[in-house]
Amino acid sequence: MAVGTSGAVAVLEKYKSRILEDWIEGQLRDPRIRGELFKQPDALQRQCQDFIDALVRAAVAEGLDYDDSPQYQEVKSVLADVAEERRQQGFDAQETAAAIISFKDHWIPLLQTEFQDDPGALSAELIAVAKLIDSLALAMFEQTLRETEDRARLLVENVKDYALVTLDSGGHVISWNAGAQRITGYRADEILGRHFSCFYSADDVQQGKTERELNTASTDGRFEDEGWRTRKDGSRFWANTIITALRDRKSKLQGFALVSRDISERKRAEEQIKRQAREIQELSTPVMQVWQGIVAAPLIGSLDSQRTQQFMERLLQRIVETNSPVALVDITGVPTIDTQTAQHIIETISAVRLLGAQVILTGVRPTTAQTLVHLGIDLSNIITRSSLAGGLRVALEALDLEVLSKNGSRQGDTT
Amino acid sequence: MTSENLAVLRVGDVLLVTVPSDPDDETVTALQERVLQAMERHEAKGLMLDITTVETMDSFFARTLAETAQMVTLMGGRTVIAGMRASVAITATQLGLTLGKVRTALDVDRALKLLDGAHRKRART
Repeated sequence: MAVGTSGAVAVLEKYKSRILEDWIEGQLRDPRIRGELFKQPDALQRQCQDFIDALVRAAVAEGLDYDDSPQYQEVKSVLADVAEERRQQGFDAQETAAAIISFKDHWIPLLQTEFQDDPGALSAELIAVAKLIDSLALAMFEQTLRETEDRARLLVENVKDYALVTLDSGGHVISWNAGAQRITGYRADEILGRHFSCFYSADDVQQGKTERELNTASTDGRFEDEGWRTRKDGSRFWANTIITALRDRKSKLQGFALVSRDISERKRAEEQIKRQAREIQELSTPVMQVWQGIVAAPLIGSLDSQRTQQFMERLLQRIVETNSPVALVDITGVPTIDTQTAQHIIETISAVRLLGAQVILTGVRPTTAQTLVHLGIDLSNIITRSSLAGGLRVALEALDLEVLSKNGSRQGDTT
Repeated sequence: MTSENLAVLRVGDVLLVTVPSDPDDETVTALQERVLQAMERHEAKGLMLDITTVETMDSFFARTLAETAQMVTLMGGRTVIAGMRASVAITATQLGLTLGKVRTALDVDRALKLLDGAHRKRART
């Protein structure tokens, strides 16, 4: 029991407020101190006060023997609270431990003054105090570390949406989480120790994809990829995968962290949207031959520059293919004509002219006509008609054709 | 292709010129000279420029074609440009190139008919 220390405790009690003051001042001078503790020394004061009080209580009861006595446990628990509080303030366990150890610097000089006449007692007290403080700092450090690890482990284990996997430097699975199990179907005991290439198709593995990924992660520090991966039951899923190299302080490769997410749903949705967009675009610009020498193209929906380009290409292509000198472009299905759309139509018509064909613009509704005039768009050198039938008559005329009924009378004038 | 290889053919009273696929400025200038000389020599009524093989059209080429057509008009002929490719037409339009008032035709056949003013036929339904 109580080797030395009773004298040390007496000194601590006697000079409590002075030691406290010195200690706080010392910590505030430390360049590592920052943030809340620096701006509000009250918090620091409270932390230190709590610690010293607990230390004194423990020492008075037990003569500061650091065994598993309740008083020693109390100091440790106060210390743990302090450490937790400081952790939340952004200090790591090492920094807090340094602050605890610095307590010695303010206690020991006083011991030296008090016991200067008794070197034997002094050295016993010094050893006891040093051992006590060091053991407290170490206990605090270990506990914080353990808690941090526990928190990290809980986090990793409970994440369900992401597969969080660690691989050794050769690519074998060394840790597995619930998300990885949910996504791939492998239980931890089935997968631990196996090479991560079992998530890839045989082709990918044969082509050296897995090795390439690890090499990239190893040289660049990181590898990211989207692609097909294989589940335990052989089915595929589209995954976004990030592989990060894990290196120790000496930058020696320790293994890899693999974070992966099943984004099959998103991929499917994206592909569907792309397919639909393509279909809509193709649907909306049909160009059909209505007579030998005449093609018709109903425009539906608004025209942006991309659609114009596509429409122009299709129209000109069809004109050349069918060798048609007349093209009917029907704008009944264009909801509103603005300057931009009109410009695009005029552009298309100029291109058709260069080919040696002409465009007849049909489906000019009253509102469209009003808009065109109000916008001051000049279409005077383009043949325009209100109906497709009217346009077709002009086209037939241009080709020197006419439609006759069976008894030989002309048709189409009354429509 | 050099300007040496340019052929100006006479078919009836129409001149027929096939423009090489990638004409440089020199060729285009030479083409204009040859055409105008032939117009004078043959007193041709029309000129057809066949550009079926032309893959790119720059502003100089477009301008020279338009100007040649104007000159031919002054000498009493009509000009038709035939066979422009769809891709060339699209690029030309996007670059804002025009051929002025020159007439165009889908192919040589239609161009000849345009020049003759004799493409008349009837269809019955």
